[in-house]
Amino acid sequence: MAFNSLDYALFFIFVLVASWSLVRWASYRLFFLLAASVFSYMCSRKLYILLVLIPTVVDYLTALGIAASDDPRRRKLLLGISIALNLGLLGLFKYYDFFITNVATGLQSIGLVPANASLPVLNLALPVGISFYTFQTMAYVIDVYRGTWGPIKSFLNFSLVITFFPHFVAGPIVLAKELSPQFERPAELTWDRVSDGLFLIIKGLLKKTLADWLGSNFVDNVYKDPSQFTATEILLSTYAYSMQIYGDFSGYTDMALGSAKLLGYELPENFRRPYLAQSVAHFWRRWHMTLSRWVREYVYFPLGGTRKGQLRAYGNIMLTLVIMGLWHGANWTFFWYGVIHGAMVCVNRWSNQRRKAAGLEEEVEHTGLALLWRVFLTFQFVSLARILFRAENLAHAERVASRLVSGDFALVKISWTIYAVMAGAYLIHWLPPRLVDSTRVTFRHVPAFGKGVALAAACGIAAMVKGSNPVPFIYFAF
Amino acid sequence: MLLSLASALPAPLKHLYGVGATLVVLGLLTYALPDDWGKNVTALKPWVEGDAPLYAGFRGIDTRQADKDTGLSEELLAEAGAHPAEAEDADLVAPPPVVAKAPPKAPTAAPKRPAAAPAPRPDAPPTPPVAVKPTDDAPAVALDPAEWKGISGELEDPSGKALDTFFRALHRTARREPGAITRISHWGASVIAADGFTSVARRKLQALFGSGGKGWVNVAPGSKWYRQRDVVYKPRGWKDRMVTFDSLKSGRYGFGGVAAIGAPGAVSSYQAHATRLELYYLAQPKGGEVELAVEDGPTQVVSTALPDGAAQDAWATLVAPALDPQKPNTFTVKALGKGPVHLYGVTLETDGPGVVYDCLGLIGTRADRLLHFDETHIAAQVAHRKPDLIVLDFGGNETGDENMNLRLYEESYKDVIRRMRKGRPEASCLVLTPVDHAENDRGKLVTKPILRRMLPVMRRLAKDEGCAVFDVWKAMGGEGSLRKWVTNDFAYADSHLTAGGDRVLGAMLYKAIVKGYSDWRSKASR
Repeated sequence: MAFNSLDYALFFIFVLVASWSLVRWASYRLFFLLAASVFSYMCSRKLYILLVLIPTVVDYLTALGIAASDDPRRRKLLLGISIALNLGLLGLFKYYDFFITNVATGLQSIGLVPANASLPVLNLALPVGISFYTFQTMAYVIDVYRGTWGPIKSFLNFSLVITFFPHFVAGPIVLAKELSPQFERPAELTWDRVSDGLFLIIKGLLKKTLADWLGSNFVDNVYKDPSQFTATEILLSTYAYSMQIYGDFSGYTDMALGSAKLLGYELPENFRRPYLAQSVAHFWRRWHMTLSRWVREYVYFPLGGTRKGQLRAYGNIMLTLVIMGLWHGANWTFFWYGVIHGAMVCVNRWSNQRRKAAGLEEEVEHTGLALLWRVFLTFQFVSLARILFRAENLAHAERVASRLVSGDFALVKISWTIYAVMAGAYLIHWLPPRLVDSTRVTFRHVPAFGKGVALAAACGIAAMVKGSNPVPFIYFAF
Repeated sequence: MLLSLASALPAPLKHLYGVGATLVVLGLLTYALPDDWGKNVTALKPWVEGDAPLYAGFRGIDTRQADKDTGLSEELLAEAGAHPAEAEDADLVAPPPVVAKAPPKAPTAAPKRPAAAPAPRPDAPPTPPVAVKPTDDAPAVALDPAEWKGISGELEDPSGKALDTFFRALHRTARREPGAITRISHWGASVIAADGFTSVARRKLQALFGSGGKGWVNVAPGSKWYRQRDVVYKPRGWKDRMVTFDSLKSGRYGFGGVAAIGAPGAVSSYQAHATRLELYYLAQPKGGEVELAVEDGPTQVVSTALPDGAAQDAWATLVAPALDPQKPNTFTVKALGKGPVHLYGVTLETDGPGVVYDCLGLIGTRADRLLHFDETHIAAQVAHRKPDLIVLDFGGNETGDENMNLRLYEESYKDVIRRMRKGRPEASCLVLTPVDHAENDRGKLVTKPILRRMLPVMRRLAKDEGCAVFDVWKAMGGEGSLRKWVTNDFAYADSHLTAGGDRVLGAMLYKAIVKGYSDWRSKASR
């Protein structure tokens, strides 16, 4: 259920009223929130709820088993069962067809498989949010195995941690240790939470509306038929897409955080003005921060991080970024997206190592023009790399990129409205955070009627821009 | 009781409920707003009949499936992806393959060779139409019904005669008579400005009937969006005057509707599979000189000066030595000086036999803007060009005027048809209805009401003027078809077509023409 839909508005109003009515009965309230979360998920594809419930039950039991056992072999076996189940389902629904098609193509090219052989592809619809909840539940079992957290005794608590509707289908990727304690405490609604939650929802809705506008008025047109656009227009479309995907995903996250706040819970931040990053490594500390955290803690560090020699460190960086790329989808575009990001992070690291070897500081605090230059370069790289992210396949990406170097620099198909919207969006993005904070604090003093009008105005703007058919969030596809 | 319950609530919760109540009340109040206050007001209503049902996903209702189904045939849908991606960007592609010939004795009545028709000369005066009756003793291009399989709409000709001249010419071309060139001249607005679906129809027709060359190309583009396929066209240094904006008192914009005013050094080059370039220009007192050249061939200096008297249209032809199928000829038109030059465009043709399809795209143009042409001037231009089929493809920009006076629209469109046919009254005429134009209604693209009202008017005026109609709107699916075309990446929401959409529409037009010709041939041979 998309946060920018009437379905969600009605659902959320009902959930708010009912859940706060049940606040004195904590278990009933949690049960109600679980039922609401399951209903919310079933609005996308009903039967796929089983793909959530099965790993939830198995992971709950395996985590209890791991915690209860002192036998290392048994603990490893249980961990293995959990990881195999989670990665198996993820692999089956998300990567199997991609894998089998590419293997078959490889075998066909060397003549081991006839060219006209029919492939055992499954064509399964991708369960919404499978990459998010799979990572969440795996993280929980690994934490229990490591002894850093849990286990959660209450199945109700654990299943709600996994399925809690504000973060269920598109993150943030919440760790059980962040949410479970909140479910164990009585829910509390403070003045600040109410106000900040509403502020986030309004902010998120406006960001999403802006993203949809940029998408439908510019970016989608370019990617539908890049041959109709000049090099300059293609370049501007990459900047527009950078803002579109930021508005879309961070808008979703804002609404998720705001919804959770209004229910009395806190979710982790996912963005910190990513287009102010000074390097690609820095960018990943500001963009989809909970995914970066997950991959760092559950892939990069277990691989050895930088502790096993220089060569291994570079290899680990590449592998980690490729996994992050492929996390987005089974497509060579995402593989190469990960590869080029990995390569740039390696270049950053190599540069820092050289500074260190020369006796200079590894990380320099840049200011002034040097800072601007680094932000500019990083932004160019991130935006251009998004051609791979947005394209449907490598051939499509190549078509877009080839127009980019076509040498045709005219600007004929971009209206002044597009320039104005893009300029306004980036200006707001680059404003000092204290300005946004002061607006948030001021909003706390607005009476309920004023807040209701502000929320209605945001809904009205969204409706006038995109109508009654909400545009799905981009990250729902991952 | 509610009040006492409310007073027992914690203050932040009361505050939150106050926000929610305000939101709900404001949402309900939108239903009190009258619908005739405009679409933005209607959009504010949270839900109205026709919107997706609430919780459609939970109820198993697929709301997007209907938009994916275009209703087009498999053959047309296959056209959308029929060509490799690299080909769609190419301005110039290899010449079409050798035309297939029918067996000497076709099962259907094969046409007899008609009385010998003289090969048309580019500088020859207009000639009356030659009565050609299909006969059965000569081979002609084979017409395989597969060519129009999956057709989505036919050429509508209530009189049964509106396309006779065109089909007769096409028949001579089909019979491979020496020099038999069939010319189609297609004026239209932005939907053809990049020679999109017109180039698809051209290439398909030339593949079947043979190529007579690229056809018309302006000297100056007229707009940044102007593009021509089947030629590499590079203009530089011209000032342009478009018929759309009525910027020339003389009304002399040339056949393509864009006059090029050039100072010394202004140049346009054309690389195309053609053996002959003909320049259309204005001869005027104190006119300057123009150099016509072809790479590896002759150069010719044309003086556009008249010793005295009124300015008049003139033509100059440059013939290339030969045409290598693998190496197109490169022609240039260059202003040399000694005075200003006022040029219109060039035609690039072969000796035929074959089809020539002129794409005359004029961005942002409504039909009545063609009345900015000086009547005598455009008649002379058309008479010289000798199109066998005049295609008028306007109406999209008119849909921007919801309150348009349709009676005036009908009268002005009729005037346009008369003006464009005056120079060659015997030419066939075909009116195309516009592609679906839509407005956003609560997030859905719905056909503009004015378009629905324009369609019967277009049919009527075409009939009154003896023109046939190709109903593009109906062929692409009619009501709401733009939404489906956008969903399938055939079009943008502003009604312009993608490369895939151009391929589909080009194939639609091609199928309609070939089917019409086949029917005519069958009828004529009876």
